[in-house]
Amino acid sequence: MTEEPGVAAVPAVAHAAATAQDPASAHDPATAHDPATAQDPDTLLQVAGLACHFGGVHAVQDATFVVRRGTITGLIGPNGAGKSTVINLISGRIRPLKGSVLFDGVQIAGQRPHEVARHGIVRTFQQANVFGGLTVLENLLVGAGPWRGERLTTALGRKRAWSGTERELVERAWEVLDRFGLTDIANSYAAALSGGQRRLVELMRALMAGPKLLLLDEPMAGVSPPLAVTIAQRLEELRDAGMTMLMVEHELRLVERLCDPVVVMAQGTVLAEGSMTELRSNPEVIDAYLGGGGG
Amino acid sequence: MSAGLLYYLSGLAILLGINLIAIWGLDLQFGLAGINNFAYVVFQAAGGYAAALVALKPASAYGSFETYVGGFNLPFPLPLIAATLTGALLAVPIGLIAMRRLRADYQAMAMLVLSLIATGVASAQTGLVNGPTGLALIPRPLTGTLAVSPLGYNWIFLGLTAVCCALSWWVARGISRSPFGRLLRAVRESESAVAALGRNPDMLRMRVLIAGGALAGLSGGLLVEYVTAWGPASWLYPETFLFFTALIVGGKGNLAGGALGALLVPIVIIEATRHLPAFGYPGLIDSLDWVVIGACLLVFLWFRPNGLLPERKRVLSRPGDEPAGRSVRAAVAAWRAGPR
Amino acid sequence: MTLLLSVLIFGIYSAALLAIGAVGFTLQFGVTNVLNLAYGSILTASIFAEYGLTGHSTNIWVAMAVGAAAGALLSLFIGHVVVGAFIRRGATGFGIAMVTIAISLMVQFGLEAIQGPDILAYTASTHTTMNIGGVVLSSGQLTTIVVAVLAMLAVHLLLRATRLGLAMRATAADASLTRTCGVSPVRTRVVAWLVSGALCGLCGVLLGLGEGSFSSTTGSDFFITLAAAAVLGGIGQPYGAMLGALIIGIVSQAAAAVISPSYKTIAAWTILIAVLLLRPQGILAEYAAGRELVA
Repeated sequence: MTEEPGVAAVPAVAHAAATAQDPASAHDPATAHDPATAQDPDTLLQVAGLACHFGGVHAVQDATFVVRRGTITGLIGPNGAGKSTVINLISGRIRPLKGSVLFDGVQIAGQRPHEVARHGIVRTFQQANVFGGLTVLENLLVGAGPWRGERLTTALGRKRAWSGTERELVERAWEVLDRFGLTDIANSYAAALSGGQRRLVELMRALMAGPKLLLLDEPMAGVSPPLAVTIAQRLEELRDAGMTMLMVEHELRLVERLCDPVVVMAQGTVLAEGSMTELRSNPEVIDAYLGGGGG
Repeated sequence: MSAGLLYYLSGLAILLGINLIAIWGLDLQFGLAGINNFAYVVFQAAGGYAAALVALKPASAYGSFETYVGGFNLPFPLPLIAATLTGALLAVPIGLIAMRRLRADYQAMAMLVLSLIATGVASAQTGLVNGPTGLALIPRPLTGTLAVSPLGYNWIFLGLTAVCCALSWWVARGISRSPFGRLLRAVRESESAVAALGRNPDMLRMRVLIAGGALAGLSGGLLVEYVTAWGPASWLYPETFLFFTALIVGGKGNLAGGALGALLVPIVIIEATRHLPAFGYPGLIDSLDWVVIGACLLVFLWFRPNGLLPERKRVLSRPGDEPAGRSVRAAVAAWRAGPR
Repeated sequence: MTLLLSVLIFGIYSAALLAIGAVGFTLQFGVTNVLNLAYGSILTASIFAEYGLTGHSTNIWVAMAVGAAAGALLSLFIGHVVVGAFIRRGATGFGIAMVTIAISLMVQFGLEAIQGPDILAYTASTHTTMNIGGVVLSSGQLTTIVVAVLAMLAVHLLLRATRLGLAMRATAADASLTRTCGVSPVRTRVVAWLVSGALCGLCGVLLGLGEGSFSSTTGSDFFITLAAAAVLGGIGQPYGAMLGALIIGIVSQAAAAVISPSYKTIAAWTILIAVLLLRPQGILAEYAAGRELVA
């Protein structure tokens, strides 16, 4: 997120080398046992020992994994594994009991959702969370990050201060709609759209913010197969352009197509991390998915 | 037109103006931002009391007729400014209460209780604002310096009200059309999504409470200076629902709807019924007015919850793509190109 | 010492009166998940109905029966027919609150129109009084305490010893459980409206008799104190309402004695605000945060 939202919708990966991990994380047991990621400039998000109490149970007991730049990292696991809770913990919707979340070297664990978002992390929700009473274009305009023109003071007088930037934002929103081929719904109320269209709106809106990391919470849930393919294509395009994503998903074929690496969770902890082929032959993973029956 | 009729109509116009300001203020909070401010009348009351306490002389000047705090006897326009500021400032404590993560109806109940506590305390603490009897003899602005007939004064006050209305219209319109206004509507739709996009919904709501509160305070100040008396009976909790009904009937989320509601509910229903031939006992019509208001509310909630003039869709065309623009541009370009 | 005893005894009397109304309010909320802001007007209407039907000086038991019946019927109409219609159409929390407010305005001012804003008086029948350590209680007040205890017992038996009561408790916990009790959800809700209305009417009549007078605003004034008791104890929890009533009864009596009589109600309302701010779930209950509204 920047003050001037005129940045391109896809972030540059160039500054990755310049950032170093927070030296304090060297004491973190998670990084201690995996020295390769301790000072790894390639790591955008580092989650270590995350735990929380939610709904009366220890929904997440010890989540530890990394998300490397320019990847779509999958987060899979059986029901109740704590995947969505991890997303909620990272995005700030739930306060962690303990653990750390390092984003681009900055500790963000325990921050509130709007503070987390300002670091450049944008999330989508399990139920497509659009602004129903606003048009699609307005949804995208809101997505374009905090900027000076949206203050109360500028509303009351300094119109010239923001009308120029506003025009640029509208222009950019139309471009995003072009890229997704959805210009015909630009002025429809978001509430009037189908579920799949709403997911696309949520995604487009997230892109307007120019995020460094996208957290996708089951982006394909309840979406028709052809639309899921479309969404998958868009996500691939984004990744190819350098965007980093962490994606929770149930549909394993999609995960196979899109995600590398993949993190597997079960019962609140991370079981394994790797490519789908590696995981397929991992006995612990198989066990978790089959519920521990047999060998 | 007789002078009497003109006097009456000018008074009605003043009340319409005052209600317009109040309703537009609530529209910012409720129509735009979705805050269920069931304590709205307290903002108006606070503004009214501020204006009164600033304009009145110290209590001792009236013998022991009324007891209250303050009494600075300051001239126009200071009481009105005090009223506006008080309304705005009250937003802070009330906002902190409204910010709780309560379910919508719980929150509404909390605000309602606040309103009741406010009237309760104002009535109980006699030394504060003269208890249940309320304040009277509030000086009207500029009465000392102007020597005009009552009708003449009404016109002047109407002019003052009109200026305040224009100011309020400018503020409400500015907010509604701005990116800030768009954010408020977004908060109304989904607070979690707004937070996920880097804004703090609580701060946004606090700001609109302040803006709406300022308008409410201004309307209270004007009302008090016009009516010259103000007691707890004037701002009981049902008054808030008068404003809500105006918005639900007229249409929320837009100034025209608010204006229509201001005309239909406080003016037509209340004032028009005052002029029916008196039947029953005195005060019967007042009670029936409220029954009608409750009925209107119910009927509109069922049949037309978005009101007579619902919030309109804000259509944004592609910059440089306006059909009219295109044809004009094309025509000019063709003209410049000259004959082939 | 007499002051302390007086506060205690009149506190118990207040608590008894409050308990009847608060349990009705909270029981209905627990089952139907509707915050019925028209409850106060049902109370007023019950007193008016009883007064209109049976006149000034009646047998207290007849008065209570008539009041309870009037309250039950009105509650059923308002809750199940009117509010229910809105819910079936998809109205949500705030919309329902507005509907109940509209109804309460119509009822309260309708009653005012019929009767005028005057206060109606009950002619006091000869009271036998009872003297407890210097504190004098009228027979009406004693009856109230006795009736309250009986009513609480009856509610307790209903909830614990009948299948209908089980269904009501199940619905309060989770609306989808009602069917498993073998009682139809509609029947459960209807009974909830009826019972809460009966308790409301009963409370109203006893309030009117206790105060010796009533007007069209009696119910709405008393309602907030009732709501305070219910919310304090944990809304949706009948036993919580009893506890809340006890606390508020004694505290408000103490406030009246120590500060000033007009602070009796202000004390109760301040407790309500404090609870809503600090611990909305109240003393006993789980907070009913995201529950669906049930018609």
